Amino acid sequence: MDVVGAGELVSGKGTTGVAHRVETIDDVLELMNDPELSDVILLTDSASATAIMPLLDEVRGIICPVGGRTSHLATVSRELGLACVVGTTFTTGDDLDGRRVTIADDGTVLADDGTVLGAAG
Amino acid sequence: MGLSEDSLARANGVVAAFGRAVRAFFQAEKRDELTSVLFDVPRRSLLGWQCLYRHAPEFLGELWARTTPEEFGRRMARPGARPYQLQLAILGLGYLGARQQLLLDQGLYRGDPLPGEDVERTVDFLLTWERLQRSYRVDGTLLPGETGAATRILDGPGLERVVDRLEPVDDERFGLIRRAVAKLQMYAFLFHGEQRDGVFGHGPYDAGDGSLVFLREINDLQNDYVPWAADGAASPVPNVVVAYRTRGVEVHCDLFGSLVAEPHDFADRVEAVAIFTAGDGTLRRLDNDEVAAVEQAAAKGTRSLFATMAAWSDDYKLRYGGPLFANHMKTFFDLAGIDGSIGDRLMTTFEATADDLCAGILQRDTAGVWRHMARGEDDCFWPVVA
Repeated sequence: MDVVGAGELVSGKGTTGVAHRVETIDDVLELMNDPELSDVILLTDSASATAIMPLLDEVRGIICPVGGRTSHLATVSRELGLACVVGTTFTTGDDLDGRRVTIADDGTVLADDGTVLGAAG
Repeated sequence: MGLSEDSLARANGVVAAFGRAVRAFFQAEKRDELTSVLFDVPRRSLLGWQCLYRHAPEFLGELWARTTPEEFGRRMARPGARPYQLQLAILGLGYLGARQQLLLDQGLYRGDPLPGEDVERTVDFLLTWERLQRSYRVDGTLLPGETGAATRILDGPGLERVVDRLEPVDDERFGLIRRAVAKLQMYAFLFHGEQRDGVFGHGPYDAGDGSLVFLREINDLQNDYVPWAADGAASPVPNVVVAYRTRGVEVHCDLFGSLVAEPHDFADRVEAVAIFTAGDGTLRRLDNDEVAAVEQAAAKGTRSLFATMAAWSDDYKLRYGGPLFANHMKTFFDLAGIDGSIGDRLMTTFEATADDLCAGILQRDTAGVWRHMARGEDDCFWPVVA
């Protein structure tokens, strides 16, 4: 596995799952009916939990490029015991969508197929 | 009865103090930059405020014909009660926010009279609101900022009844409570159209041994009033109240009934906890099965509501403000035990006003009053001029 990014793990513990990018309401509605939802790690650009609210109690983790320890997403994730990395910086423009990734206990994000996509931020 | 100079001065004191608190809140929360994927939040608020400005004093007059603000405020001051601090703040914000919008729309300046304003009506509304707010807070203050960001509503015996129910922390039960509270808060936020209604934090209360007690409540869980209620949670209880006794934790309460703890992750500083549902003068402990049932209902309701609300038209993303604010008003009559036609009359009136205002508000790119309230250089709310 290679490091593809890093941020601050503000909730939960390290975990592994399949990354899914969520940008629109349609993305959320589609994932709500995904039988593999419990294996999903969400990629979202918003530090507000509202847009992805129906997914939070079932997914495995969240990776977000913005936000901090006090953001709405961090607060909700903490109460749910959900792995949540915020303020994540990626080092390449490649998309993690659909790829198996690991969130490490120190907030590092790794891709299981060995591709280097990011670095600590 | 004519308007006295003293009444006008006291009302303008309320306007100024409340305005300072609102501006501080809006600046801290960057409310004028608020966006939502599901709702037209800033313009929905503007619509709801206009509903309150037009109708709240007359509807509340029906309440004050049966009770006093002092008696009603004391009745609100118990766990699980609704209305709570948020409804009081919304009443003040709605009335003054809508009034300020009218002043700005007409190109007026601070110190100008608002053409057509019934000054006596406004002054009476503000002074009644002040009486209600001061009697609700156990220390008689008007706003949380006067007491170091505290909201204390429980008197000695009220607090004692809560403290008596606290239990030592059991890791499994505490984990269950944390998850339930998280899901209930998400559900309440969505159910109320991204308004922070239904989630209330109050305290801190001195437990007498150096520890502090504070409470988090989630209410309105059995709402059958708003048009989207059928898609909400089928909760087995109307409210959930969680009490924490902590050491080394600071809590800050704001004008709108929210509570923030420092450190944010304070779980390892909780010495005792209780979860219960509150009725009319009763507190009933929830066992683990009940907590799990409430959590599951909230999770199911969140998914169902999200699907419903995602399909709302652009028009309804604004117009739902009518029912949302009628729901605030109805709580006053529910707590007073006044039923009959009041709920229907409120809904009909607020929906008609929403229909009346919707097209005009949709013409606005943004609500100018939000920018004024968050960033203006003069008073947040301009004084009442006779």
